[in-house]
Amino acid sequence: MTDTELFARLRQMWTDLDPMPDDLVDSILVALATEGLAVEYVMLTMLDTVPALAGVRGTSESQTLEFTDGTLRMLLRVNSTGDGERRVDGWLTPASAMTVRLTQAHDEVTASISPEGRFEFEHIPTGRTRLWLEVDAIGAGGASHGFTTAEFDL
Amino acid sequence: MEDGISHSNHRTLSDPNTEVIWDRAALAFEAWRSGKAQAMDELVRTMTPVLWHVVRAHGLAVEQSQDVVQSTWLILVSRYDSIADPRAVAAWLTTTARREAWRVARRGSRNVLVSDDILERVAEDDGSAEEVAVARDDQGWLWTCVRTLSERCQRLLRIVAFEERPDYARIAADLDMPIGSIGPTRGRCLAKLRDALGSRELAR
Repeated sequence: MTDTELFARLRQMWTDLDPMPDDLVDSILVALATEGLAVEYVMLTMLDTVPALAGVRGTSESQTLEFTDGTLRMLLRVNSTGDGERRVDGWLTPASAMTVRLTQAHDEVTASISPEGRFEFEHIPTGRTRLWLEVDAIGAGGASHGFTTAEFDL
Repeated sequence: MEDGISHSNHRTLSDPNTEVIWDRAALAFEAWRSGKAQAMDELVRTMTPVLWHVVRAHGLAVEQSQDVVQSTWLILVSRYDSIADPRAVAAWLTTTARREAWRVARRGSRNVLVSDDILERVAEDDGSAEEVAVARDDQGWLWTCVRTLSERCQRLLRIVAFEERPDYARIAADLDMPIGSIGPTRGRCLAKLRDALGSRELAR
């Protein structure tokens, strides 16, 4: 085995045995995206999708995604509307005075959150997506910082 | 020097081949600098695993390592002007990460013995570390042999494995070793590893 091959094996070994934490890339992207902004964003990480609820890719599927930071929970139900677009129904617990913003490569849309913590987005194209929770008003008695999800596929 | 570049035919998709990684990083960095904001995601995805290994080689705990890798990226976006040639971005990032890791390691009261730490991680994931070593066969054997090396050897080999053109002067300073000794030390560490691997041929 040449030195080059041996080093390739060593790389593979360390990559397998001591991999970077799963959420490292996402937290860096969040840190970079929010760098220099006045508002701080706490990252909501995605929990493993409940298999029974996870839709099969195809035509009539519905998928459930859940994000949390330990206190705040956000549940998303994603439905395919047949025209290649998605409908997203969200539920935030506990409900807080925030606005939710959905960003994709070149677009963003915002939606308000009902007092019960519900929100919805319609006609969203598929693709890499991130949600941002923005605090509505100062002194609302809620969170003093925003939240953002790791990027996920719609 | 051929070390950082693998031409192995047995390369797998998960092999973080440095040549490919460096090219991809350079392209992404150039795109980002010319105003394509999305290219930063690609750069971060490409280089973060490499930075992780470089930082871990310095004996920092998992959490500290995450912080160091993250600050490396924040330093990049504030000082990217200083990188004249996009092809230098990967080397710039690994150097910055090593410098930050060294700074934190110096300040820290206690550094971890990374090999023990890895053993714990492996054990947490898969049950007994011994079982894993056996189960993973050639890789388990390689890992067993690497663990017989001094900590300094383990660090040096890990850094060299993940960097394209290791900056020996800088690494010497980081590992508290005389500059001229890195090349020979690397040779000795490799020789010891080969001895340990011994007659057992690694499968192709």
